[in-house]
Amino acid sequence: MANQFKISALVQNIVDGRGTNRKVPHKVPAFDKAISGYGSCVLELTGTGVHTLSNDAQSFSIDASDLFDDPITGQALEIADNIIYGWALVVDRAVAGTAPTGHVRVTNSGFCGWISDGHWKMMEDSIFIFHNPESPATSDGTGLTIDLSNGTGYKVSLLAWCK
Amino acid sequence: MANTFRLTLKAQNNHPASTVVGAVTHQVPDQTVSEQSLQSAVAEFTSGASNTVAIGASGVVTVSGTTQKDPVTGSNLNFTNHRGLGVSVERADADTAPTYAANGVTSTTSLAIATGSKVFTVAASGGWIDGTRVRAVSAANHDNWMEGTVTYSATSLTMTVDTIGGTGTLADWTLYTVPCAQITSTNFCGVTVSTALPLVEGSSIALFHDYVSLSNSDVWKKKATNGQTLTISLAGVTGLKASVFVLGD
Repeated sequence: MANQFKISALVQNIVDGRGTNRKVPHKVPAFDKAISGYGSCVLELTGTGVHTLSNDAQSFSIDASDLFDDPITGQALEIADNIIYGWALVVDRAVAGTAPTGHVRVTNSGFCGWISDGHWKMMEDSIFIFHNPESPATSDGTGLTIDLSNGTGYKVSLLAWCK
Repeated sequence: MANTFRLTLKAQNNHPASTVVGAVTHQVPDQTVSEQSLQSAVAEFTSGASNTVAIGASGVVTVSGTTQKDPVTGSNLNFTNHRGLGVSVERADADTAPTYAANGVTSTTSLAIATGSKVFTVAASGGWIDGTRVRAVSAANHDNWMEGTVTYSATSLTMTVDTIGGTGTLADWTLYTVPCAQITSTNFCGVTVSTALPLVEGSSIALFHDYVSLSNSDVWKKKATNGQTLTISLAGVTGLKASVFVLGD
């Protein structure tokens, strides 16, 4: 199964030239990455629960339950060499037209080799992307925790990819 | 000054239709966030252990101590809130591989796999400099390893282990330099990372907070306040480039 991801970010300052300042571009180097050959899992989390994404040598899991995600074979995703490469999450409103309240807490205790202190907070239309081609495997008891208990009306789309 | 920031995520699994399995698309919905009228600063680091992007007094943005300027007005660049952060690690020269201290130095010091300080006695000089990231791997089983930053003197290498794999007390270590940028953060863009995050060549982070309400205490951490710092260490490796962009309003 060929698997393609494209991740890009573009930052650009443009002055239209009609004001006092002439057109001045202040362009950040393109953050543009296309990667292929990876397995992946996709999740959508809603409600007010607390969920943890982690992995073992064979599969991603959510709340300690393996994710059966290969769309062709129907089998658990195999993670070659026990290596995961990246993850991304997007925080959005669960129901169009209904504004969320509060925030989503995110904690990483070692997923993709990253340990954050405490948690950070994300609100509607926030996005996070991480990719590291040499991420170590997740150790027992570690993972990426998405805590929806501090808000209402949020949907978190979560993607993780592996070797 | 109009400022457009766009961050997109597109993930798609495409199975070739020519195989015995028909075409299969397993696609994540495209995700795009965009915002105008933000301020930004960029920086590139190619060496050194203490490269910083920081918030100073009155929200001024500094890069390794130098105040950043608005490219249009020429005045100091000040953030009220953090809105985004990006870090990419690539080769400084696309045709030149990074260089670093020699790999393959061995140690027979008996050590238990665990986080914390570990002292390896090494027979040969590894040429490491303080702050280099090193992984110690068991020769008998590569699933057993310890990794962290080191200080080095003569035949003694002290590793502050922050990441481990496997278990046991072992005495067949081989030491490898990890050529990477090491990232730490003090509440920068709402994220604190005390244990260095190693980013090897090809790694990227992008974070964007689309909405910040100054009256909402839930998001106070993303206010730009004096002392918030992102630190990037390239200790012990030559030929890597860490590109950073930060967004604020």
